[in-house]
Amino acid sequence: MPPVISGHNVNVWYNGLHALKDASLEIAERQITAFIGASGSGKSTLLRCLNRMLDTIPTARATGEIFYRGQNVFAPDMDVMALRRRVGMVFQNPTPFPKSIYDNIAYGLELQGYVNRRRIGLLRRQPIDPQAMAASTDRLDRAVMQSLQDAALWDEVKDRLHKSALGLSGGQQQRLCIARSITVQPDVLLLDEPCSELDPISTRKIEDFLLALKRDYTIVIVTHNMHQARRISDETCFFHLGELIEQGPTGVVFATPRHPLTRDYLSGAFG
Amino acid sequence: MVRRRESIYFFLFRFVAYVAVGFLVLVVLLLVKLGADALSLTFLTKPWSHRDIASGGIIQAIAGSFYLGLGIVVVGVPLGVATAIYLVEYSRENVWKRIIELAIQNLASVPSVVYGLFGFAVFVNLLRFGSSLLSAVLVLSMMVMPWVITAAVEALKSVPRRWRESSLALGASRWSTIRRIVLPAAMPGIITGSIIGLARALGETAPIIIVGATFYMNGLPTSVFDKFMTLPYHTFILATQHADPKAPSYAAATAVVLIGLTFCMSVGAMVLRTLYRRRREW
Ligand SMILES: Nc1ncnc2c1ncn2[C@@H]1O[C@H](COP(=O)(O)OP(=O)(O)OP(=O)(O)O)[C@@H](O)[C@H]1O
Ligand SMILES: [Mg+2]
Repeated sequence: MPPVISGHNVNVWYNGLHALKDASLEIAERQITAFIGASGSGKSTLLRCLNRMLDTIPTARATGEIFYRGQNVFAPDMDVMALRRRVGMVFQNPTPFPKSIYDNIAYGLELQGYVNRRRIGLLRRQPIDPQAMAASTDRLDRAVMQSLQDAALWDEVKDRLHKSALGLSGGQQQRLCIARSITVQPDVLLLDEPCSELDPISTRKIEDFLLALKRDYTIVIVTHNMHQARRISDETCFFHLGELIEQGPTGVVFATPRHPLTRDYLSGAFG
Repeated sequence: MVRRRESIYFFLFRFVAYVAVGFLVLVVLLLVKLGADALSLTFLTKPWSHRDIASGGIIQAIAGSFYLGLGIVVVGVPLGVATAIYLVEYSRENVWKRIIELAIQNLASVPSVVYGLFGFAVFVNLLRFGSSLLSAVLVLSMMVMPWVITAAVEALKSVPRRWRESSLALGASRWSTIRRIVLPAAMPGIITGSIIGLARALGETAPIIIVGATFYMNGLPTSVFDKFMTLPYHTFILATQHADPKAPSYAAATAVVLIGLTFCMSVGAMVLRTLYRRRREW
């Protein structure tokens, strides 16, 4: 199977700071690829290249080539909005919008023209009845419910769908954010340290969620947690000072790293 | 020792706060006392009668000020908010942006009469809008824009960057992100800034005398090209230009109505702000 995403000699500069040096990688379909490496080694930078979120940093400049299913991601005529619908992203801090739980999940589909009949307005604030939701044939209702169920969040939030998402716990917020990004049915999901602020139980829930998502999605996850990389990833990329040192199957990279730097990092992380 | 100093400062600050509030209450009480005889339903709803001021009211002045306020809300506030959106969301950090920001800062401190003179030259004469409501609305809109822009820029900047990023990462356009995520979050701040600007503009006399306010007219303005009366100018005329012994009392009553109008706007803004906040916390 050809890789979903392949990058060749990607370089990124922030105002002259060379943050990513000649990185080349391949991301396989329906696999979880982990980015590991020390702080500041360029993991987030490469991740942001994959769906052009780097564009949101005015000082950043990128060269090289990235192909997503044959399309040149860096091409000037790339439809960036369409790309981001196919290659979604979840950030380190949970970032629910200051909207109701329902409206948070619905937002991505509303952008695509779905009509939200349950939106909380300035004056209109109808509670949402979970039974009515479950029985509803409205396509937005169905999509929202499906996402929440996939995220194993439905039972926790079904009685407060109309309430602000900011009232959820950190772990719930992060699962909500992942649910929000899969509602638009992307192809690839990029996650930048999604569990770094969460307790072990919430982390575990998200890992299970990601493993379940693997059936339908291609996933790239940045993590500082070696155990996590080992537990869930199929492929591992090791970064050091802006260079992508080594990519390989997770088992192989962890058991017999090719590069001395990788070996040092992994042993340091365990010792 | 430290405790003692602390409590002295605390007392001082509280004292200053009370003095400030006290002044405000005093002014309002004084005006109400002075104008109490004049305040009546007739006064609020009947047209102005120049010969016998007791038989008429100030409806033209109320209507004039109301139209001006409406005009500013329709013209000045949206232009100001749009400028702020451009500055915060779209423009890149460069010399142009610095120049625009500097211009806005300086415009905020230009005396209002200068705006009046500009309006007289440009709107009244050059564009031939004449001495009219339209010219006055444009002048006051220009005047409030720097204040609205400053408030809106602050409000927009305080919206967390990660909300914008999350929205863009879902495939939203920049405009959808602004309209659906950023603006609603910034709204309370924008409303507060706009209302303060609006209230200050409605209290202005100098610039609008130059471009169309009149001290007497028959009936209400029927088009944007008509002249108009306003509450502050009417207060000024009654207080200084009218021979009737009851005039000072009527001036005070007019001032009370003006204060009432701005007070209503503040309350309206507060209600709106609360609605926006409640939606977030609901
Ligand atoms: N917006 C930015 N402006 C300037 N420099 C940046 C910016 N973002 C990152 N950098 C720099 O680029 C380098 C790589 O950063 P990056 O965020 O990709 O590292 P990372 O591997 O994700 O680190 P972490 O594990 O701490 O998240 C660092 O030296 C960082 O200081
Ligand atoms: Mg990072």
